[in-house]
Amino acid sequence: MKKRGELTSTQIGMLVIAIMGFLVVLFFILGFDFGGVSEREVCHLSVLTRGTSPEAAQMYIPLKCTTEKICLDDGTGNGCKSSFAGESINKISLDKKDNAVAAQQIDKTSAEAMYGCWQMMGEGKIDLFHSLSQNIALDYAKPVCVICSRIAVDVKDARRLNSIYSLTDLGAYLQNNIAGTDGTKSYLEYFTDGQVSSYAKVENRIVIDNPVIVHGEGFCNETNDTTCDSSAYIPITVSDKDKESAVVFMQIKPKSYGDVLKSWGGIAVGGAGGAFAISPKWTMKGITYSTKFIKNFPILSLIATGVVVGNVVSNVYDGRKVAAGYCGEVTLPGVGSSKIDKDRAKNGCSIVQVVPYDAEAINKLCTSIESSP
Amino acid sequence: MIVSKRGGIEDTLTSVVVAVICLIILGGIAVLVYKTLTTSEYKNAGKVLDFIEMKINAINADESTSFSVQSPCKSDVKNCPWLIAGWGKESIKKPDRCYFDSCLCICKFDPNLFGKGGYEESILADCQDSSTGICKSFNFDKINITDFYTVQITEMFVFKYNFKRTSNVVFLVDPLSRFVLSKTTTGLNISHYSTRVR
Repeated sequence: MKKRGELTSTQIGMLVIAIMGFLVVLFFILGFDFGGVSEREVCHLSVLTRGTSPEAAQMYIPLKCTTEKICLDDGTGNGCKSSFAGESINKISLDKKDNAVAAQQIDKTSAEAMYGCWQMMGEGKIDLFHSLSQNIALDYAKPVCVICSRIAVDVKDARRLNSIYSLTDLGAYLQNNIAGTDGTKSYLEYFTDGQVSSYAKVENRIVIDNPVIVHGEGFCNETNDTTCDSSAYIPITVSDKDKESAVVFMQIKPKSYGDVLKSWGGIAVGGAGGAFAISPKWTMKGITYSTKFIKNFPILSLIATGVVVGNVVSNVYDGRKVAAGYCGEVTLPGVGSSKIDKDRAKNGCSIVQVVPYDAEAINKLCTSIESSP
Repeated sequence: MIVSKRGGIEDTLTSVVVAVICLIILGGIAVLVYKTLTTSEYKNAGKVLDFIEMKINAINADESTSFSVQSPCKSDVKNCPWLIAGWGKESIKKPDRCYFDSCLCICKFDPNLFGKGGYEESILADCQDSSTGICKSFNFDKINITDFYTVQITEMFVFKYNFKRTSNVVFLVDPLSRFVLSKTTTGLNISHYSTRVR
């Protein structure tokens, strides 16, 4: 006779097939050699796989993103050997005579690399770097980066190089040029979700040194956003003046107290349910012993609970404070600072920016780098 | 109520078979995930050493060059176990795989080996094992590796102290590490500048 709630052999069979199907897909993603597919597509596929998997398992799904090496070379140098020797590079010929054209080429390459990076990483719409410990606030959120591209400029004549750099203006290029081949938005509108189309207010504050383009929930919509701090402004600074720069995607998404409570609830219900399904007898015993322990040692139980709760509260607070620091104000050497609405910055952000390929600048922005060099 | 014994055994057998299959698959997936993660770390470590070798070969004696390398670890970088170690021809204790040459290795530090013979022995063992270390031979009598780093006792403590430690080992605990290489006619000096306050 069939017991109530007992699984039929068909149900078990379907369950096994479903699990095996899922695992086959996972094996495919983890172990398949993507020889014929471009590195960008491989990276995007791994981003989607990670983004759509359960948050607790995200960190175990590797991002298959490799830093693209781009060499802008006018033929007089050594083909970016000092930056990329021995590595596979994507070479772009710089105009040999016209400095203005060469400067435009540098801006175009940087803008396209940013565009490609932003698309590849899910346009800031996918949360990629959550771990189980961060979900339940046993650890606080940290900024994690992917270095999408490294761009090196190789021009032997230093005077010509300086002259080219004096003509580059990535900020203006991003503002005045359409992103993609069939797009209607400028690069800047694309990176900022179309919230900002004019930077008249910003232009006066431009620091022509290094670029910082910020996108995130902390952004002020200047036209109709009353909650926005009036002193907040969107930074556009330019960093196409370094011999070697990096296009970096950074994301920090701290959890709110509500999210953490939900995660703890999920773990408690899932854990208890799972334990009950495996062994109802032992689960009941466990509950009885726990209750007894609490009854016998109420102060000790209270202290232990207090320590865990205190740690969780402190980690959520720290995570949001860190996010506000990274998203509310991004400051890098030679860049100046950029501010966005403080309260919303606490919710985190995704940023794509061009920074000097320099340990000091990148380590200030990233606690870890998930891409392969 | 009659329950056939045969049916009962069959049901139990099915459950056991399903459980075993699931366990095997889960075990397989765990191994695959672990392998994927560690292989990518190992590959990245190899790239770091290739890059340093290229930089060494690119300069002449009495010249220097600076460059940045990415840590092989993708997460928990501040506890990254990968290190760069170097031994000159004159070094008495060095991994056997270096033979009589000088060599530069990138190795994964195994804290479990630490207790067996101390820090130096542990690093030698890690670099000797080809599954945890990659080495390249060079022609230098001496290889010095100097680590420049800053220490702050606690976050509350205002003062920070700068330290310089010259040994033959440096851990790659920054997401991006800055190195300065300088060559003499007989030796190689590698300076590592850490940006992280320890």
